[in-house]
Amino acid sequence: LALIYKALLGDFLRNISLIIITIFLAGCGTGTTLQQNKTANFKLPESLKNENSVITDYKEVFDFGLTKSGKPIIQSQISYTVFVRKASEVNRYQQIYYNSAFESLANVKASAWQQGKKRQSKTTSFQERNVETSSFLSNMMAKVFYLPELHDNSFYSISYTVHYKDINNIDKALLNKDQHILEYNLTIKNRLNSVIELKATGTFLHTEDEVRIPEVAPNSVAKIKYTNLKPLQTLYSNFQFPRKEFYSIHMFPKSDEFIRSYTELGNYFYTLNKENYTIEDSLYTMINKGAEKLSDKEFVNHVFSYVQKEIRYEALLTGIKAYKADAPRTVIENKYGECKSVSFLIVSLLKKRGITAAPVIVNLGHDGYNMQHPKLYMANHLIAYAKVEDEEFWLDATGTYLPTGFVSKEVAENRALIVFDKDNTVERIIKKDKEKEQSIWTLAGDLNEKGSFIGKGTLELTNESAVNFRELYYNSSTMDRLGEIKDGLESYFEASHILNLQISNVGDLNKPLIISFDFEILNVVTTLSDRLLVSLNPVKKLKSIRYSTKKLEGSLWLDGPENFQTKIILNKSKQFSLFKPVQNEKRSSSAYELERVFNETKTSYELSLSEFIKQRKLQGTEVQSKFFDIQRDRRLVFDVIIQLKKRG
Amino acid sequence: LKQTFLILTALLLFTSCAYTSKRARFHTFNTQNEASAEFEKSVSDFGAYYIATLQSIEYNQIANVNLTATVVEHQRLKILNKAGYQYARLIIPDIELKKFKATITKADGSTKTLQLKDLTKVTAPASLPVINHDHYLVYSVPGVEENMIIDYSFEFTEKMSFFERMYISTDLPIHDARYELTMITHFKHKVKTYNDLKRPTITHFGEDKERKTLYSWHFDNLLPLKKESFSPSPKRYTPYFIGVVNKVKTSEVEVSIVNKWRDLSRFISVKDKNDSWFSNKYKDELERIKKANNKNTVSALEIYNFVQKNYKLDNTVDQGWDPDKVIKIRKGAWTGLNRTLFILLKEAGFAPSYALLKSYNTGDFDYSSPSIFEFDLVVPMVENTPLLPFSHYPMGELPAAYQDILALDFQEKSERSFRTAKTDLEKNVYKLQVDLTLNDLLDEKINLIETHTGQEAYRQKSPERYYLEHTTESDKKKYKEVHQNYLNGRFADMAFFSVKNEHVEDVHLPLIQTYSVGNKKVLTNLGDEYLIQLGSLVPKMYTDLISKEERIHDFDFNYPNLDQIDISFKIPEGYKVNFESVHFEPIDNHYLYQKISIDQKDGKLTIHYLGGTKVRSMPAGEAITMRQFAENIAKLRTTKFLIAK
Repeated sequence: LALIYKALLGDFLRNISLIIITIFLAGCGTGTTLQQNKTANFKLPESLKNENSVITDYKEVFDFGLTKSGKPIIQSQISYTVFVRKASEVNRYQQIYYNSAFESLANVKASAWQQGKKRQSKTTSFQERNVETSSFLSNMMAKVFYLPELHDNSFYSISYTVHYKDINNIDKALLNKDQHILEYNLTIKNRLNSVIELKATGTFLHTEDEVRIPEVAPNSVAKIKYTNLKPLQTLYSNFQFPRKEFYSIHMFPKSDEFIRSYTELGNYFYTLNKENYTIEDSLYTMINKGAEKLSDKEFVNHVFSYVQKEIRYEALLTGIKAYKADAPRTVIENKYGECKSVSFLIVSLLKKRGITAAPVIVNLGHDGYNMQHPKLYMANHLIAYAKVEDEEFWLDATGTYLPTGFVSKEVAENRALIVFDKDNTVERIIKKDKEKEQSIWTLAGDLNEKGSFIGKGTLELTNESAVNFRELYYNSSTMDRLGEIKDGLESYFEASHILNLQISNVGDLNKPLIISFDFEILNVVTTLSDRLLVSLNPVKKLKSIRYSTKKLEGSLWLDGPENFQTKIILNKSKQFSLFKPVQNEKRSSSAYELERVFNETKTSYELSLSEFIKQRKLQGTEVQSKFFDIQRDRRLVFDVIIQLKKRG
Repeated sequence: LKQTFLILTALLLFTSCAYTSKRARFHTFNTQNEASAEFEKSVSDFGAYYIATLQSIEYNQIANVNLTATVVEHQRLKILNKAGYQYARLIIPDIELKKFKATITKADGSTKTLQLKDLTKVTAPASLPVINHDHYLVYSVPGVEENMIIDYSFEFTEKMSFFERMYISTDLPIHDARYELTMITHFKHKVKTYNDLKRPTITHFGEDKERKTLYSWHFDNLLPLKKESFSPSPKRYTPYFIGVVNKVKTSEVEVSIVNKWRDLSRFISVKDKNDSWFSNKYKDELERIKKANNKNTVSALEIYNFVQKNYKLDNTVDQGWDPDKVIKIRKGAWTGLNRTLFILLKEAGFAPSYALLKSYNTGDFDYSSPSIFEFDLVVPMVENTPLLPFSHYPMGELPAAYQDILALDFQEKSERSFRTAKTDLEKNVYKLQVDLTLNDLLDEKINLIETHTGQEAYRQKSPERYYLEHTTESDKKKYKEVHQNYLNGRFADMAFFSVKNEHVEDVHLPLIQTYSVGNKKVLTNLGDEYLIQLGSLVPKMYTDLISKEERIHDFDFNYPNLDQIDISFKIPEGYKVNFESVHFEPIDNHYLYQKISIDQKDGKLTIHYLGGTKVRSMPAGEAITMRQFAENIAKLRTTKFLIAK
């Protein structure tokens, strides 16, 4: 057709006609009548007869093409049909998410029809809205709409096209549907002059009929078909990682235009941010003022503290500059920035001093992703790296209350790419010094007539352990800052009153935060006929792991690494003597160590209890089988009972 | 061209002058630059404060028909120290602004004008306290430093058919807070204030073309309101004011403003298409109801039950408000289900009316201010009983928020106020029954049976019904997680092996939930003895109220309720119990009831807990009794005994 038109008409007319023809063909392509015929005799498989709705047919066509000038251009067409068994259980409110930084959405269509009847295409109007997600996925948009009215035993279908604005951020067919998919067809049209490598993520191993196609040759079409994809379940969305496994197929064109390795990913990022590695002399001089004589290590601390104190973190709602930081000058002028911009400010200042420093691309919480084929979208956080002599520093200035070099639990244990320079990107796992996280409780006092434990206490918290209380202090929504900390402490006990609370080192992040207080822990004494049971250490730390009969996949993240110690001193009294000493015990597993030591001194009974959570991550199967053991073990240090005898 | 240009310029100048002169300008924003050093010191922990704020609503009558409101807001914020840097932001409603102006003044006196387009839009802080508008955009102010003053103001126009409430709330201290309301004088109107708002200063303006009456409120040192657990919803204690037009002189204006309750009929759609109170076309449906009940007559209860059972609530149904459609497709939006019930009652010969209900949480009904904001629900009513066919409530029962409130009975030709029914604690009962043996504890399998009646049941059933029917798949999952968290919060340290719900769908029966749980805390093996802590199975309740802090707000318990907990342990043969009885001081006053005992008889050790709140709200002065109440529960939860062979 194009040739005929070219011969007959001028360029202008030809283009217009081609568009019309394309639209016409596209209309035919969605195959209204075809689909209806296909669905007319549809019947739910016996095993799915209780599902409220099922995706009967999911089609995704990825088209890797080239523009006239030879640049890659990519789009995908998605269309799927859903069988609705029980209309009342299916939500008509639909949202199609896309990343506005790299993608644009077009031709969104939705229609519905009853089995064997005519299609009804009325939808309530499509709207676009920003989706507020966590700070690092800040470019998500959604197209929202209502489906046409649904009936029992009916169908609806949705189709849309995604255009990829940035070819380096397209790489996968993602099937995170909540419904069962009976048939999934992926077509990959490769009109490039290079091979497209394919890789399905692990979850596909659950399906029986996986089709493995390692690659799509240049100028060819590949078709992949899966049947019976089950919806994937998460157990504990808050602390199970990866949060949700996806059925996905990653596509890696082996062309120079695409990122193919860590180094290339680093280079892409480096090119975007090249200027941000440096800072003007005048700004450096300003910040270096008074710090000229500091050693390099001290200077790292100086810069980090400066950024931490002077530059506030602002999470951006929109931000097409998803991977391009603001220039250090802008950050200093604005006095705010997101993770990239504050990190580049640190890097530029350190580099100016001659210290080895570089930005670090972090993939927060998605350790399930395939990292053999890096993609830019995996970078959802940025921190800074510095090395002075043999000492390495991981610097995350968005952690406002972390001392220099301490990354938060969210950042630790993640894969990271240090982008030093062009062709100099290094992959690392961010490690956290586990010995340095400590919480030490000391509670010393007497029993009163009401059966309360009453006395003086201190709580010493180092590094990240202190962050929560520092946040409570600084971000207090009322003027009663100590009151918020008091409430925080009280929540550790079944019932208690905390009084005369004092706090020191709150502003000095490099020193432990010390909170001292008077306490009354209520109802610790149970009176039996021959003795008193005094139940102590209601302070608990190790995250209680909820039990579920479902199979846990992935891993469960604990609060570690952290060393949590409690010392309880019960003063001796004329009213009672010891009935039975507490047995010393110790338990350990790959994840934690627990220890209980009882000691009688001249003036008191002392209990030293420690919980050492060794790691952040627990593998799913380990947690699953050991759930009760963990709870049992914890009783060594939690709710320990001292048995006393009443005198007289 | 030149001439046209001149004419256009002149026209533009003329219209803009005319535009400005048309507006009455009453704004009395305080232009002082700071508060006293003493004040600044007292609020320095906040890190920032407003030197002055102004919120002004001015009603304008345009072309004798439409009413618009010009809203002006002006803030002057001072950043005191680093803790206040986070407040360096402009908070602007997400609508088209008529005017916008923002400047920053640094400590050295230098000033800079800010343009919205140059600023970075950021995520709105969750703590945004403003409740006057729904959607805000938040912009971060660049270059914040100590003692910087951020001054910004904006103006927008809204079409008004009703008068909105203006809430006096803030997230930071305000040294000089002003609120203004400007009414059109020749509308007979009044301005009302609520929740202890000081009396307004009223200024009358002269005989100019646009006569207006200004009301203004001025607060010195306004502080953020503190929240407490079990405190009423903020709308019940945040001061607010509202302007009400009682009479409008021109007949056209009546079209656009509600000045008497009758005017609302067009908004609540109580009339059908033929503008009569319904025709005779619903006979078939009534016949169906009669047939379903095998009767020749039909009662209001039967109609209610039929609608509730057979019509599904679906707020996404197109034209879900139309009774014809609702009857045809057997589902509708809540308004549609209400209207359908109404017409069926009418058709059956009852004399239904509409009840306008205002949730207790949004403040009390004010009859002198006819406004769509004065109520949240319009439901059919027969014999003084508001009916909620879209809900999970049996006929005659109301959600807690609509109990014991003043409501409006909206009849065909008149209206009257009435008070809705209330329930007492014995109707809303939560029961927990656990019978244990040593083997159960050794096997780590405990069966708990919870029975919820009255509000306790509706509260549990309604969200389930709501979430399952009307949200996305991921919301449903979220709900399940919320429910799991709820259980985990209530029964600390428990593992739930199985959960079984009975009567979720049947609105008339109590909800029975049976759990099989594991709890490591109940039993501890101490060598040759077993330590048993039965109380650890008592739900963790009212823990927050143990606090010794002075109580500011009254307590709000949502509804009177009674908790009845019985936990028994069968003492195994050959074992002896080592336990000394514990005394729990009983509580029985106007507001609270609590009786706890631990008995040992017939080979069983039993915990009996009976306690609850007799009223919905209780004065703050009762905090000491409340603390005792909460401490008793904590004591019960920690009580232990030993058994030995």
